[in-house]
Amino acid sequence: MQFELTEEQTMLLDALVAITGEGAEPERCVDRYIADPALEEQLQDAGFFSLAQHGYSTLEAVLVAIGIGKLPVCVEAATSLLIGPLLPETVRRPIAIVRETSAGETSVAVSGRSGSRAARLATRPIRFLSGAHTLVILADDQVSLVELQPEDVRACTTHYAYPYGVLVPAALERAVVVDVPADELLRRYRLAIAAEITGAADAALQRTLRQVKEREQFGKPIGAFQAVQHRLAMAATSVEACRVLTLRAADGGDAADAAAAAGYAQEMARQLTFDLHQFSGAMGLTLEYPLHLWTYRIRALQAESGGSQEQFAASVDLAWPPSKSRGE
Amino acid sequence: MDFSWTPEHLALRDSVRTVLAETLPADWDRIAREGPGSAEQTAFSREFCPKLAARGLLVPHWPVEFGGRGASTWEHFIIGEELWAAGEPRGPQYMNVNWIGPTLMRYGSPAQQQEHLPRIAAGTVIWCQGFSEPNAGSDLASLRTRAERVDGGYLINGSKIWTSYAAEAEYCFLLARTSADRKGGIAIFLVPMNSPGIKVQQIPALIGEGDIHEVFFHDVFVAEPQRLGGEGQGWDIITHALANERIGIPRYAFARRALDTAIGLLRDRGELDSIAVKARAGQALAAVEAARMLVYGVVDQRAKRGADRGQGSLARWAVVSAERAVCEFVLDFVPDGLHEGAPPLLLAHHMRAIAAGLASGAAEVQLDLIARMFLELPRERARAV
Repeated sequence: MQFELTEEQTMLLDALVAITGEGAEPERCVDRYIADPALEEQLQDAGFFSLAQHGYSTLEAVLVAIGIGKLPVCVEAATSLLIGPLLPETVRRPIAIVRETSAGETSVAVSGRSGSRAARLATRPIRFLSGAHTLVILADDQVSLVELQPEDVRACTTHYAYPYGVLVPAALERAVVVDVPADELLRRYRLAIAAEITGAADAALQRTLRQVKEREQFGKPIGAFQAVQHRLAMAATSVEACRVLTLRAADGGDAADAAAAAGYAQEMARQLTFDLHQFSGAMGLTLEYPLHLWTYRIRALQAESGGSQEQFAASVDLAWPPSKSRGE
Repeated sequence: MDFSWTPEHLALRDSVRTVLAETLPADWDRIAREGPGSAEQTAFSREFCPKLAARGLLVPHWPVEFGGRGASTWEHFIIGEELWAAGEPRGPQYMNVNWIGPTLMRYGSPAQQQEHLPRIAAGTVIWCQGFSEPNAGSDLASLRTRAERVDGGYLINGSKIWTSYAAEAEYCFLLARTSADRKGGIAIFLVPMNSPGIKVQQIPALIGEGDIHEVFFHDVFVAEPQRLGGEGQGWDIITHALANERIGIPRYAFARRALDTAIGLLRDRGELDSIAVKARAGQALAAVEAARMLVYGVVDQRAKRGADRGQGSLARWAVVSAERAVCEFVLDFVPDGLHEGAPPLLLAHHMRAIAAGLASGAAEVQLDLIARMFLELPRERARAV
């Protein structure tokens, strides 16, 4: 049980920061999200999206996904880092992923209409689909891929801080089933969600801390009020718990741990995003203040893959498998 | 970063589990229901701890000269985690081995060490800690119990409250005031509980038998050699002694067992199929594992002699949250868990969980410490220090 980074892990994260910089405030944040193709290309060239091919572990991939999640710019990294290694090498990123369960639900939280697959998958906006080269469709026991062409995706405006797109139904005809275990892909999808929330939540908390230390009311910083301090202390506990659950799940490879980490992350997101905006005052409602760049990623991820209820329920089935527990 | 256990740590866990399997009686869950301070569990600890001692599992983390083998922080922690998960068959003696013994090693006179350490290491003595008072709870330094100098020693007058294990204890690790100086006027006394003038009264409560008492001191004579350290040294000693105790008891481990029990019961009843129940169970599971991992992080930091910048307080808050999540899951979905006939572990956990945010200090104080140490937020106002 070692919580310190190894020398190699420290070097990896230092190399990441050398490219991304350290938490600089974006010059312009009035757009719903910030894309940075030049940064993305640098990360790609440095091999940060293909760590597994360079011998790095899942834990290291999660560390980098958390690091990229902290950035104010929006980069598709967690899916490439965690799910990419399971896919054929020819698959190109950015990668979008959608979960299609037997109940007819998809990871995009729109009320569960059943019906044709096209109706299920091709009517709902999918995170990162706009600009993606690959769509991963994760069903209960099957994984399929669509190699995307520009005409496959209709861009979609959104209040969330990610690029979203809607799939054109015809694209589904080109979906190819691949020989990838769905349960392992789902485990990694959950790690990706947990890692991305951890990174964004950490950065959002840090930005809010700066605000409450600077902003004064009643003659003192608002961060000096105990009512504010206690909720920020709880927020910090949640973020640190989220980080360590995610890292442990990545290192150990246990599917229940990954479900618990994703569920924890998605659940904490509700209170965390509310509180961080609350403590930022009306400034937190503006687009010139960067908090939304992280919180509206977190809010989008809250419902990913069915949301916290789905991950928590799955963690119970995985931690106490029905056949084993009965009769014990 | 590596979250796996070493083969040595796994073997140690196994050896503790073997002792438990060989030693705990069939009705152990019933005995352990009231918690470490009950008369029955305390009596059991006097049999159990010598067996642990014989196998080198009671004080292995103590230095060799005091009967240990200098085992690592992690080894000490693993033993404590397994025993707490099992319902704490060491009874109140967990406290002796965790901090009372080590504090005596550091600050005690050779005579004090000789008198107390062998008995603690043998597992045959019970201690209580005389800290809180009616007007000194979270604000411990405002304690008023007086130690007045008399010929050959001190006369103690005052009262303590919430004192765990007092009815069964042979000694009290007592904080008392020798002068008005808020922190500099506090001294520590190692007081035999059979001293004339001590009266112990159990407080009927929602938590386990033996958990809380009032202890009254009326002209209790304590000889000078029973003072630990110097007269003004009490606060420094206690701060040092408890610095490593902030994460305290590995409460999440018992919460996990209560959750395991509740899940097993619900599954047997066919009541674990709905997503609403499973989602809440999963939420409690994640809270327990979050607490476990944050505590492990603190243990790792302690093992490496790293400085605590508030991580201990984060872990403590996570532990309280985990206790609450399991407690509420049981109340919501296994409401009969508190009735007669239910597995005793469920009520046992309930009684521990409702005290989690208060035992060893109100958890809100930990939130203050997180704000100050971890988040580096400014103080609300200047406090009297």
